[in-house]
Amino acid sequence: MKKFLKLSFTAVIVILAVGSISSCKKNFDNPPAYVDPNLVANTTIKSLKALHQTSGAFDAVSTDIIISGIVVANDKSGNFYKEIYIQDATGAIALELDATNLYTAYAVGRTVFVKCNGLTLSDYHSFPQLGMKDNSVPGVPSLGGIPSTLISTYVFAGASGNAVPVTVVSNYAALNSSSGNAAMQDTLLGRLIRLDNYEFTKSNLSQTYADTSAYKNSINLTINNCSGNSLYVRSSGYANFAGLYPVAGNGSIYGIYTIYKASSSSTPDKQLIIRDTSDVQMTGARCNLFEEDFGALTTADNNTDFAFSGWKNIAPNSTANYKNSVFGTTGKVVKVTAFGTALATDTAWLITPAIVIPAGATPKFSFTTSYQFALGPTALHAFISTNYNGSNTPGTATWTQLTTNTMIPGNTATNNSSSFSPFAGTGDIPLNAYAGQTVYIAWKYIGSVPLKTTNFEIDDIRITRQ
Amino acid sequence: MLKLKSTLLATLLFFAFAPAAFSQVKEKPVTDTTITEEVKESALDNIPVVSLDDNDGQDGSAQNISGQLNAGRNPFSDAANFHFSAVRFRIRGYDADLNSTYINGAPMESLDNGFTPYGQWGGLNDVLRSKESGLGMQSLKFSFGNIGGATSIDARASKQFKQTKISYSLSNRNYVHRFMITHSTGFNKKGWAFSFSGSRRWAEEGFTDGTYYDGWSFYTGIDKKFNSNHMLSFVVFGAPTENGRQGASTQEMDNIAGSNFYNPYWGYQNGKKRNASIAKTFQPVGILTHDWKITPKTSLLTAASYSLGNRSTTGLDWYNAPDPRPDYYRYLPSYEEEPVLAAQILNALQNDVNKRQINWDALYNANYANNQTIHNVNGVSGNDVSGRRSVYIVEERVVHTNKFNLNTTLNTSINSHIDFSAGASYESQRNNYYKKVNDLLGGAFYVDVNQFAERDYGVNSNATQNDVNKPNRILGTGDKFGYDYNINIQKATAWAQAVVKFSKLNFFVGVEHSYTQFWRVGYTRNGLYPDNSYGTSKRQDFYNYSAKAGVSYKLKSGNYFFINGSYLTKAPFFENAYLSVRTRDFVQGNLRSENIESVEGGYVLNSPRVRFRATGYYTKFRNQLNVITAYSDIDRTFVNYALSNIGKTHAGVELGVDVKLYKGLSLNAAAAIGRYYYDTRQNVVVTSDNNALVLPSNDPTIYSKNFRVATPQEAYTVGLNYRSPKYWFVNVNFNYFDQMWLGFDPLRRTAAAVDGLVPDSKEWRKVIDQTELPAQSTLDAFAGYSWLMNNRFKSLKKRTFMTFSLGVNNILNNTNIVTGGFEQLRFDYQHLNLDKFPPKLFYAYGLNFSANIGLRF
Repeated sequence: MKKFLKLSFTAVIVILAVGSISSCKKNFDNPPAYVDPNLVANTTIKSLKALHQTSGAFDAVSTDIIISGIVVANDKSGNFYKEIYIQDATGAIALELDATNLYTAYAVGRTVFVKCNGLTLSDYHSFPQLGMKDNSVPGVPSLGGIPSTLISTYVFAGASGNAVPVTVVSNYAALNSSSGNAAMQDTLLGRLIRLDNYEFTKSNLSQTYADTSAYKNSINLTINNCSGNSLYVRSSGYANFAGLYPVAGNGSIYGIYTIYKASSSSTPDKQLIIRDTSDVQMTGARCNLFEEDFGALTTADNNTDFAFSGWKNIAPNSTANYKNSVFGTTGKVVKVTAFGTALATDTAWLITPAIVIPAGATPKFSFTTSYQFALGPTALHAFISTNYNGSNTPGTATWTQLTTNTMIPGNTATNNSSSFSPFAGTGDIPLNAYAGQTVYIAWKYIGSVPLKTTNFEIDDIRITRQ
Repeated sequence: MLKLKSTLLATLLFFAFAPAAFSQVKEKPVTDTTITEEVKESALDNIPVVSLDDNDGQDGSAQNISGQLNAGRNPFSDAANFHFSAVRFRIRGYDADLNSTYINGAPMESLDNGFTPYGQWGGLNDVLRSKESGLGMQSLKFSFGNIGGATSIDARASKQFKQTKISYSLSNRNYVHRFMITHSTGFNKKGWAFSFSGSRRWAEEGFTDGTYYDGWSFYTGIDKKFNSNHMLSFVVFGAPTENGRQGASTQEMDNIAGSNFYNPYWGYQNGKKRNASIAKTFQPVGILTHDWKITPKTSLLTAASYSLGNRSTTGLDWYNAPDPRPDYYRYLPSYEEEPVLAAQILNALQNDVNKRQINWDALYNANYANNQTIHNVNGVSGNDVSGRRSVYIVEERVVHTNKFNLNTTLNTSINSHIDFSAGASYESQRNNYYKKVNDLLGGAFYVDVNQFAERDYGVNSNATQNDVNKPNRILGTGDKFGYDYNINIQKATAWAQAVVKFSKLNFFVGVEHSYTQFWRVGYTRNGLYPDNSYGTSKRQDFYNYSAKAGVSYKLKSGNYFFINGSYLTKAPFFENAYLSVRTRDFVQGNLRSENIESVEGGYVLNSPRVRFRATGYYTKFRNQLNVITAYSDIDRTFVNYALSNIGKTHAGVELGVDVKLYKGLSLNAAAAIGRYYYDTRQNVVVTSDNNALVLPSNDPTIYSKNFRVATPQEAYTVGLNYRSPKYWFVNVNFNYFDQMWLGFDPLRRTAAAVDGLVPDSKEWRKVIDQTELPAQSTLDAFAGYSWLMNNRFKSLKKRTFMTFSLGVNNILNNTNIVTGGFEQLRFDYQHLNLDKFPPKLFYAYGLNFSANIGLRF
């Protein structure tokens, strides 16, 4: 037994000795973060783009051109697909790469060098791109991206964490307006720009950024500033924010500026493509103090009682209520009539929510109307009140009439035509007198059976700030 | 937990293992034959454990294919277990669950899948030499047996030779160095016997690039003989091992890399090779055995064993990031349709090893750059965590196993003609499956979320949570994630057998009954199946029975004919019962036991000059079940193929002969000629991990009839041995393998797969036909010498031997031997392009050797 223990002890010692010599424990150091490679750009992005002069052509780069830029957009949110945008002091370009999840290697803020010898320049409906080769099939021109295994032969990642260059465009006119092939050389194309004092249109507020159905179509929303300049905000159905609604304020928006020319002769659409919803920083007050274009209505709402939140829709009986009307491809209005109410007289009220008019403002109020089966002299007028308390008995408040019959032609028409008249605007009605007060606007329709039953439609209600 | 049930003290005399005339009992080996065995065993020990998973969803059935440790000393088994092992030959084409292994009376096979976990005692060959085994359905004394055969290893301390052994081997296979030391005392005067063995096996890099090996093994045995009737034995052993694995790849990638041994699992990190797929295992076993000689004619052997431990495999996991696997089909030239670009891609891969292997730098840098904020961590509103969120990690998939067995066997001679054996056993196993973060690769945290469900249900849905009870969990190194569940299995068995012996005629009959039960317990509430994942599932139970009988007729001593038959039912393994065991407890629709019927017959001749064995067999399997999980490119999620109504027929002939030619020269030859094929049209039910819908499949029938089981169906060997009276030997064998087939993808053999193709046209055949691998041949040689040192060193008191041996396999360096692989379970339904997802193949090693030096005293 003792001998056994002695021998076992020896054996254990021997094995431990052998073990300590032979053990190869692997401890792996973390590799260093990428630094800029030993490359120097010898061409600006603007000069590179100048090599491509004709829309639709595929221009191969066959000299040792090296460009460099900072990544300003990638596919992290899914809004971009198989491309990244790099920008230097002279401009920016879309780099087409045939791989997914590019954001992991090319985060926004990383420097990137591109050896362009062997790559091809082309454009997508006049928006310049740098890719691998002509991938067109007959009738569908297309620039193929660099195959994933070859990306590292042409594209070199440098240090990350650089400041991301933003171009502030304060003048809308600066957003290109060249025509023809010259449009492709505009230096703003592909850049990360910032526009200030823009807002999404009122009807866009009830629409998601992109199509959330199985088709996942891309959608153009529209933004405009208070001077009426507008451009599209285009988003892909594959973006992770596709199902979100745009914010309702007015303010700044960042995004990649692109153009889309449907055919060679048309003028290019101006588009902004956001990286994700943090690019939309619209927290200020909108251009208009108040607006309603009924864009939130859907086909299912047609002929139902109008019931937007905060509004009042008051009539002696339900037949006389203001109703939603959805027609054609874009028609969304409210309508009212006395016809069929079986009342001698009928007064129908449509009252807005409370509207705060800031002190010193010079607001202008306007809306449009259309009429049908005009049997005049039916009365539809707009009123304003400062002492209405939101009750169901508006008659107790003091209402000042704002419109005249000239502004609302349906009040005097008698043609009894079955087709609706074209929409006519009231023109601007100044509300300067109400600056600094909280007001309600109401439409009062007074009709009676059988003679005063003109059908009216109301749309595009607006109170501007000045 | 370890229940010491047996209190009866007895000793069974070692020599009561009297060899019956008709059983294959191994004699005590003589010195020089031990060298041969050692050389052969070290080769078997050193063949890699390769998993055949499609690396996307499976845990990998780590079936150690080192075969049985020299199951029987008959000329066929010797050859089959050794010379055929390079091509992963399976005797009679059977899966490993049809062979049973016992150590000191305790059953060793895992209740998961019935395989014998050889890795639990790797490197302990010295103490596992004493065995008794039977091939096929012959009667046994230690167990009811299994249709493929059974082996009982006697590793008790008193059965070890009273000697000390030290040995060292050098080889170029799985591991390079092996150092082993064993010491056994035999019984001392007080009735104690002790034995100890330890070994160390290691390699910086094995035969295949990027693989390393780091293993230890230990064994301790203590016996106490109380009197001539009672003996108590205790052994404890274990083999903690860690090794870098190799993966199968397509022939295209092998060609690009310039070698059939291309390994996609490794890459350079800071100049050192790092393997992403590391296997670790340590499952020590303790066995307490009581050997009781009740009367001179009756003995009772009772064993209680307990084992616990982990085995795990690491691998890369990624979230919304490019596939990090270097041989992903989209990175290869074959994915590019334009030929000039394809040539450019081929060139880039051939010239840059970092493009062919994992690019660890890129994975770290992707994590460095990914600053993100996670909202509502742990379900607490407003609890936001910001930092570097890893998009790549190394995960570790762990199985923690607790296993307890109690087994007792009674053997008695009723009279001179009748032997009776009976036994009962209870086995209980609990496996805990989970995965954990092994390395964050430069990031600060990972998040426990299901990215496939995110894509389908949106980021905010509960369906994306792997555990709804703890949503948006931030993970650090070592944290569990993804899934966490137990499978519990219990099995109780009772058997009895009677053997009747007359002078010329013997026959036996035996029956066995068993009861099996398993169930799942989930510890996470999966967001896709919140009502079916957390908590205890329904228990599935099965009653099974088995009957076997045989007759043998003796012509003269050593020569006899025999015929054996068996009919049994077998409970399904839980792996083949649960559709998607990680996410829910749904089971296959028609869960039932399988039926097996088997018959074998043959002739054995044992004479001083010639040993000859010929056997024919026929086995039919019915109603088998199987569940395969793989990633589907079309549905872009994990898909489970639940197959049922699987039937197989295995039929064939085994021949073995060993002829003494002249003095020490002998000839050995063996042949296994079989036909193993599927003989039913299987049914498939396809479900995906993202939802419980049955994926649309117009005709869910798999047209699988006559497809071959994937194992070499013909194997031949012929060789010469010379054993010199001066204690050296030489052996050369030539081996030939044919009828090797690749396992088939069931979905490619459906009506949908050939929709639109003209039946029997070239394209149709290309989709349907099974891949046959070309025939192969190899040459092996062994030589050894045993030197009795006392002749030279007279001062040595004990007989001291120094042994040398060298074994070289595949001398001709045939590197084209496909040993296995799988058709990828992805099929290009859109273009019916078979080359888009070609099969992934494993190759046998080229020239490989093992050189041994040992000292014994």
